[in-house]
Amino acid sequence: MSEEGAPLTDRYLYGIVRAGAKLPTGPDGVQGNALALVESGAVAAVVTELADSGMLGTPEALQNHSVVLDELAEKQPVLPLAFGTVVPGGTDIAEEVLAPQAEAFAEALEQLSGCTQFTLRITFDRDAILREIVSGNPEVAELRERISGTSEDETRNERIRLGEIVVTTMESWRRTEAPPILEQIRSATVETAMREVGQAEDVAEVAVLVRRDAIDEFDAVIEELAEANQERMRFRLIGPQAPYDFVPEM
Amino acid sequence: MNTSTVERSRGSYVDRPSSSSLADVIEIILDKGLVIDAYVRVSLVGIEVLTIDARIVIASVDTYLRFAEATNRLDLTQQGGRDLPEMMGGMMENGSKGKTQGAVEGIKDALTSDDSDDDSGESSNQEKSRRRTKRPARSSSEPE
Repeated sequence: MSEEGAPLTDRYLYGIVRAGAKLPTGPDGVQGNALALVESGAVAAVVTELADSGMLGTPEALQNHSVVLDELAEKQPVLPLAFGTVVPGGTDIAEEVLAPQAEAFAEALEQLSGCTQFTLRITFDRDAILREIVSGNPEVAELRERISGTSEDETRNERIRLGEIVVTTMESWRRTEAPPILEQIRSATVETAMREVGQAEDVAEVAVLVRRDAIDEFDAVIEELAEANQERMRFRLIGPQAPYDFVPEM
Repeated sequence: MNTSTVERSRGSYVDRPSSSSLADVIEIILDKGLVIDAYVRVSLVGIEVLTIDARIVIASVDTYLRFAEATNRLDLTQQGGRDLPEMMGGMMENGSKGKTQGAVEGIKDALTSDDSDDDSGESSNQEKSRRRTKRPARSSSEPE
């Protein structure tokens, strides 16, 4: 079970896969280093040796991390580890990291088997929505007139009021318009995980777990929704991805 | 890295980025994934700053000012479908005030922000006007 000749360098861990998993050949690991597999029984960790673990919390490393995991996830189930997981040189990964939880890992991989994640972000089309608000709300139309040709300092209060109406209008529309859309999405997925929306024009952001053999159906549902809402909303679909939002508790 | 967004491919209404942008990656995965106890995670200073940017608080004065400016710059005569000039009674063309009432009168209350619960009667008007705005996204805005 234990790892023969664990290297003395620190190692970066991306995720847990089944033993014998195929490593993607395309992407570099963090710091441009190669990927390797450390196996223990039925499971394995995907790792990279690090020349310098001080330089890890970078945007590039975060992208390396996600690209490696997403490519792994194309072919097989994978449990993503938290970004930035490093074990010190000399650590026996098989014995110390994998073996104690091997059964739980194997079970979680089994659960995720055959599924992949997508992330869908739906936003209001800003200009279309602003036109609706201006044309539908006389106060907005008037405030818009008043700030026209003025500087931000001259009409600061009017601008704040105008922006506030716009933002609260979008919020109230989101509350009524997001649920029926999400309902349809749920019907085409195994599981969904809502994310908190962060921008005023967001309608919804949701991670979904989809069976690989049902991706076409899922895609058709998203496409239909996007078409039905094309005048007012934008749909952005990211994936397939590793199941970041569906890692079981353990 | 690669932040390219694939424009809608033929027949598709969904944006499908060919690779995740940093913003996507940060929002999606930064705080996700299994944590293995007993092993130190490296410090993420640079990225945490980016994360905060990515999760702007919605109700801030800056946000209001940004939307006010976007509204200010909005070109109502362009591409808005032909309903708007109609609905606005030509107000925008000569910039004169006071003509906002008229056609929009009927739907104004539906949209006054604070209280979205008491607008049931009028929101159906709103629905209709939205639907009418559809289709000819690029067609001319000539009033008929």
